[in-house]
Amino acid sequence: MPMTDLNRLFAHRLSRHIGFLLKYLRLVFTDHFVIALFFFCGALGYAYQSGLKTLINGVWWGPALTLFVLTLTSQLGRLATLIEPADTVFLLPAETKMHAYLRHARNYSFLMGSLMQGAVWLVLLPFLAQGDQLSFTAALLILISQLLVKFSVINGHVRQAMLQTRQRRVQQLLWSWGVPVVTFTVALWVTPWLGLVLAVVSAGWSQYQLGQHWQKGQLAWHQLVNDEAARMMTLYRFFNLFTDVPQLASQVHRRRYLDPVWRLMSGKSRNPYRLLFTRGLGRDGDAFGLVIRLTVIGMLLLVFIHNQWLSLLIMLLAVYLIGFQLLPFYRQYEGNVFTHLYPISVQSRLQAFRHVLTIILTGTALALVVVDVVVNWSWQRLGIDSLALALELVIFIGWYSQLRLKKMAS
Amino acid sequence: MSIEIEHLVGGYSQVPVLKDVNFSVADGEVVGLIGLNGAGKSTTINHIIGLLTPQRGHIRVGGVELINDAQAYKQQIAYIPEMPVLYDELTLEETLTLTMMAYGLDEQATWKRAHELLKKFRLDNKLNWFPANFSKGMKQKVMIVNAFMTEAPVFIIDEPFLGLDPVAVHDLLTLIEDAKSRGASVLMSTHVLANAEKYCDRFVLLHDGQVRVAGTLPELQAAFPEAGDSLEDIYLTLANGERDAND
Repeated sequence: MPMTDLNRLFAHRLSRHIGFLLKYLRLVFTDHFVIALFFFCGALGYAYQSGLKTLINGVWWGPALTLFVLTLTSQLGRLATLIEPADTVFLLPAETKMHAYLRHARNYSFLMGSLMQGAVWLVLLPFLAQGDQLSFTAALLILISQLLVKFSVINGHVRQAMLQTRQRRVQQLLWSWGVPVVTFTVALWVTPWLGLVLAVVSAGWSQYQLGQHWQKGQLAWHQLVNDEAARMMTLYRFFNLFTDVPQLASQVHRRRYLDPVWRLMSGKSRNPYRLLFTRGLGRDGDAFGLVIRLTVIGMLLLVFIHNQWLSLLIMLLAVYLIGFQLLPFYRQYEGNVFTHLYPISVQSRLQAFRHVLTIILTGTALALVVVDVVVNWSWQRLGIDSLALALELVIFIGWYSQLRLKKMAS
Repeated sequence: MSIEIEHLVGGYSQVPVLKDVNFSVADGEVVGLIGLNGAGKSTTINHIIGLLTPQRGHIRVGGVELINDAQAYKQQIAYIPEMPVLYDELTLEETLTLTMMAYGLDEQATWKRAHELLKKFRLDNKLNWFPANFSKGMKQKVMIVNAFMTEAPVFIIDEPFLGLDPVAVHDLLTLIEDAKSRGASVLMSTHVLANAEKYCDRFVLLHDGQVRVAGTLPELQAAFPEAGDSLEDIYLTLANGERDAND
């Protein structure tokens, strides 16, 4: 592809981006999730409908709520430039032609933004009629204003992409939030027609500003790259709630105050992998978060659940889930050449991992048992809890983990 | 002989990159591994440190083959990779401790040496930081400290000069000389021919997975009398000759 054909470059990237989105959306909207969502939306819709029935004559807070929702909605859908870090090198010579690329980016972002505006408007429509007592014409005028406001806001973002038109952060925020607030305030409290006029003026003004500059603008490359990376990161984080996103490298946290804990955990042993695995598990965002999250959730559940056998099941499950999900960490350092270079046997690596696993799981089990017996004190409960968890630890660490780790090691 | 490579055939897949490579590094000797990009330098090094298994031939370090006694083999090698490799979750102090534990070194004596090296490379106030977040040059210095505090008998150094400031380059060369005078064997791959010429006792010129020529500078000069005196002249003559031959 010739580098200067920036129209095609954006189209190419967009198809790749949409492919990415589709791939992950398929993973998010699994059968079970869709069914759950179906019921959730149904319940929500029912509640909305019942709520609306009480607003036959409109309510004084109707316009205020509408203003709030519309203003927030106007911020949905950011400018998706699909700019990549390498562009600062490879597209720099084509900087003067980048407006063609940016125009596509703007149009795509506007389209996506418009869809969201339309969707929210549709949901809001019954409320506009009942809560705000607006006519359909007025509601339609508000929809058109919404789209024009979105156009102004997106143009405001594009404006930030050029050195000549960049504004200070405060001005930028004022534009992004000020235009919707003023437009919708006028539309809801004065008349939708005047709101529409304001929206037309702001959209026209933002477009005129761009037209003045973006033919000869110099791009704020670093800003563009950072913003796009931040936008993608938000997407990754969202998808990461449902599935594993490899682009989302886990963060490492220093947590200096926990250093004594790691020293205690690795003990006096001369096995280097004890040092590596304690620090690794303790400072890796994913692994540490997993242990803490599941332990805390388990403890909270135990506070509210008093049925002895259900509590026991929760404790066993929490310990199993933590242990099971920590096992792959054994392979965390396979990619590091020094792991293979050290004159250390695989046996001592396995041993060190199981040592660390034992401490973590025992700690979790102790915390859970303590909560359970503090909430529902009895000798019998303490005895059964301790026995069951000790048995689980012995089976999991002594037998199951060994089986799995050996498979991983080979 | 500390490193002996005999009839080494190997590479990353079935298609061998190295075709019958032979050379050795004696105790107290610095050997420069020289060659164009893709000549097989890194592949050779990966074979020596045990990341790749030879398809044919033998590699002995201190008389030991990897397949016979992996622990004794690896125990002798200190390695500085071309790109710094660090554990993301370890501080500088822990990184060095890990190496000491892995090689079973006496921690008190080794820390003493490590502190001297850290001071030399101006890293002594960064012990509690994550080296994974350092700049390229500083990471490289960490790798140098990590390797040279061990006083290993064999050093494998892959293109060590990239990203180092001139002071650090000088310090590194001094360290290599010290190791050599202690009797260690050093195999160093590099493109910085001026440094190689000054500090290496012998040279192995790899080309297309084979040893094109090996020997001391006078031996190379004798082998290519028309090429010129410096290592760079000889190397360029060789490289250009190969290119013309291939055209």
